[in-house]
Amino acid sequence: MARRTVKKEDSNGHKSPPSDYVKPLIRESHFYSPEIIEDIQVKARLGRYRIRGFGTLRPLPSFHDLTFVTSGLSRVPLEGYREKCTTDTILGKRFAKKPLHLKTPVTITGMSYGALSRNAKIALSKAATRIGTSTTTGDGGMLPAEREASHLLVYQVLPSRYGFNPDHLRMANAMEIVVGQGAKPGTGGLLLGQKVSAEIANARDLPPGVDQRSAVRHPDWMGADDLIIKIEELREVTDHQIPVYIKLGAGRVTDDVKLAAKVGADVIFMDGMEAGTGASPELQLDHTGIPTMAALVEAVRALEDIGLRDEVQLIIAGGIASGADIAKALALGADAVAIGTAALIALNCNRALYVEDYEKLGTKPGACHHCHTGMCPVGITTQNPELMARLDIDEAADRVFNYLNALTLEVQLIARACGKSDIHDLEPTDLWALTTEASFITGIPMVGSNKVFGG
Amino acid sequence: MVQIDCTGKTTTEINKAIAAGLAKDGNVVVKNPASRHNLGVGINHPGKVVFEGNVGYYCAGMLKDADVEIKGNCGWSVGEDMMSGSIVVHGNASAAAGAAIRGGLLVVHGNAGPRTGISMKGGTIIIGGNVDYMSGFIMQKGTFIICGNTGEALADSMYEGRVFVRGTIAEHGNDAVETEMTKEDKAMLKDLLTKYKVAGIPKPESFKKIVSGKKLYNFSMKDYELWRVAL
Amino acid sequence: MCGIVGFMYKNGANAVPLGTQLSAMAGILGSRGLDSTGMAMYGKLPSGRLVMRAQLEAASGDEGEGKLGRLRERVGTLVTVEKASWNKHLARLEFSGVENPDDLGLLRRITDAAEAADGIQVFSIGSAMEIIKDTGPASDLDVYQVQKFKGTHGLAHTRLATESIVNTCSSHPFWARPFADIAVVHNGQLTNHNILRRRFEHRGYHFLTTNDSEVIAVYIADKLLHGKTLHEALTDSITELDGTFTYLVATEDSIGFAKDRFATKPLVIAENDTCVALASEEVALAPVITKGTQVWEPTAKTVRTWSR
Repeated sequence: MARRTVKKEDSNGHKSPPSDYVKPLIRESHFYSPEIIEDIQVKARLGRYRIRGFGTLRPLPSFHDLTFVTSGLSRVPLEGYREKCTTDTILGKRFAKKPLHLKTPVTITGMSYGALSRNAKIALSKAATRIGTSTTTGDGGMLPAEREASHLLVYQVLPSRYGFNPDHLRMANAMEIVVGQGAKPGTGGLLLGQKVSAEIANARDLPPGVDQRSAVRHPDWMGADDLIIKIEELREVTDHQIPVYIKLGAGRVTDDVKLAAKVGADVIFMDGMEAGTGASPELQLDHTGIPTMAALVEAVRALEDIGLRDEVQLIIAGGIASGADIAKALALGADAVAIGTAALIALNCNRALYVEDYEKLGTKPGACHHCHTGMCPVGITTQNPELMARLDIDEAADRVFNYLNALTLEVQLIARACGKSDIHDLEPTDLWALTTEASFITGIPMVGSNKVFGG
Repeated sequence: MVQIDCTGKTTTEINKAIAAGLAKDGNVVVKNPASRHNLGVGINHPGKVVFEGNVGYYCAGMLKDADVEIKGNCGWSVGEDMMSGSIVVHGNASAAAGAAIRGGLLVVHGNAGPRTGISMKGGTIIIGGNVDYMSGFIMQKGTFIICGNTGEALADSMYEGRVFVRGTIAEHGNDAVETEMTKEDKAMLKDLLTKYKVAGIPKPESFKKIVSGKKLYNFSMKDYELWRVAL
Repeated sequence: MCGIVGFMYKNGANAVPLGTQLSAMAGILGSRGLDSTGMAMYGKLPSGRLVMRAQLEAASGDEGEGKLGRLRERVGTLVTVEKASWNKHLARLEFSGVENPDDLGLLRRITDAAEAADGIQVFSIGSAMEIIKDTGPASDLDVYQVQKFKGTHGLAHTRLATESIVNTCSSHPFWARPFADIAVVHNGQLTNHNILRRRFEHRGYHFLTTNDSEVIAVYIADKLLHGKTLHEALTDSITELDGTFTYLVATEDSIGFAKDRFATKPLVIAENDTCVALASEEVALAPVITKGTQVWEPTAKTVRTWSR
């Protein structure tokens, strides 16, 4: 049937379409999507890779695809609100004279004073002390106020050695040799000029306002064979008292974990792809590293392979957000977890306050990942005194304490339901996989089928 | 004077003896170090420690306050992360000598290896002989004096600080540029080289001065050729 | 990640057997390499002779003798087997009447025949070279009489496994299959070894392992086959191998090293009229070098060779 070609005009003189007109759909390419188009056009102006804070925005296989099978008739649950379920966690039993005793399996990961504001660092310390866990320094050295406020402080030894001080090392409760971080494994730290204030610059021995790009390799050791000797040095300087952690960005997990264990780590910190950071080239966030759940099972298998599963403790991090994540991590073999992004969100990150300041950054609460700008609307990832004042230390500490407490209770809830009086008795057979992908990655059988698709 | 013989002792025993010797007497001589690693690490008491022989890696690492002398060669990273004090190496220094030092003085009369003075954050390093690849890499602050020749990538990506080189520079690192010496530079060179009797005390005028071109401070499309190599 | 050792007597008879020297040096570097120890020792056999070292695993003496017998038979169809013995994990076979020890076709056939059954894995074939390696420290090699081996030069290695598995055939030294008398020990980790291995496989080379260091051995041997001198081959490797490396190569009459452009893996060298010794750490040179001999460290992108 021929289409009518006569078009009527409306009162404004606009031609209206014929009555059988079908408005064409605006179809976006899957490959050259609006996102990809924007990315290309931005780079056509920028001339370099894009840099931002936070972690990858991609969906990845995660703990969400696992579920717990709790007690029923075959085994007895513990009274959820009454019977004891211990959460004590000890890290560093292998060689250190003074391992860390934590009251909860959740720790606060390394985030630098520089990437974070002073108020944020102190608030995290206060919360950690209250709940009985540790915080960690970052790529800028030890802030004296953090040492004061943190009952247990882990001191990072980084490739950059900004602010490194043997006196601080001796004041720490543990040390963490940083080989890489989950957000951007294989590269060094990054702090853009807008956050290198006079105070931060002084602490790091840098010119103020410079775009600080940390080295990726340590200056004084080049491989696992030298690291053996370096660890001996660090233990000598600290009189063999405190545990040595080695922090790895998840990548070649099996090889790295075996080496870290062989060179003498007390604790291995495995940081997965979901981890966040203050600033990173974006493509590193999205295209390097492997997901936390995969890294965890590979790390556990590697330690079992060399017979050191019970000697070396494993901390897992990257995308941990709820007690369920923690319980699953423990069940799969982690001894503890660390949180970074989640702790900042408890502080106030992405909270709907000062909404107009989010808008000025081109974002909105719930979608902000602009830590690298130094203009954090809620005063967490900034060195601007006005912005930082928006974060009240004690109120923020309360929030983080509440969150850590909530996480701990959540883990206990699940453990009790599974009949465990100790959260560290959670084990792989408490879990089933909801997707074939999760089953493949973890070796946990698939619900309903009793089949394992890999592992 | 307290004498310590390394033979038959563990590293921990030797280091504890050094610390005790400094506290008691302030003058310690360590015999038969035999290229062992981690000797004299973490010293933080004033006094003098002399190693009679070759030492291994990390000798006098994280040094504070004391004056250390090594009558021989040393392995990697001598004096790494030193805060204050001094270290004099009479022989050669292997790789990463003075890595990440934040203060103090390191003198190596012989040759040093690759990555000498890497990540310097303060202090002074004087090398009587040559240095190798990537020496002075990402130097942040401090003074680095090289009486001999350098390898490639000298002071690549340096932020601040000054490097003085007397011999041939195999290659300037990214953003490491030559500049005029000041009167104060010359006086400082004369002073230090004379005081530590380095390399026959060459004349300050025979040195070239290298500082940061500051083009790598903040990314700029103008300098994209430089950034492509350095970024 | 490891400790590497090289040693060469420059002339004549020497009071201290080569094996003792290598064993002492490797023993000191045990802290750098906890997983395995290996040596490639060179002692020239009479003309026409070849020696083979192979891994032979057996739970009992009878089983071992059985495997040795079958090995001898299989190889015996290709060459005359003068001697055959087996101890712990290693077999040693000596062949005679070999007119051309550089006949790659013959060496390949001998290797294939040896490995055709009983899980035998050939570690080396040479007119002078024997590769002896095992999991564990240097002292674990004493059972193979290494301390008594009189020879001219050799390599040793203590291994801390980085990427491939910990077992004997994945430990160094690596024989450049099937080239007689070429071995490599390597400290570092190549990052383009899979690409290189694939290319070599396309050209007909066979690898025993997926280890990057084995690729270096074949790489050098292939260069020599195509007319390059050892020095030239080592020089080419500086730009053609990617990743971190300081490695030592030994041939029937030479030793050489190459140090990469990043200078991240250490090497210390001492030389006097009697010998030249190379090791990852100076402390390992102490048993073989007299006091007062100067030691030096090569700079980045350096190669050097010594020949008898």
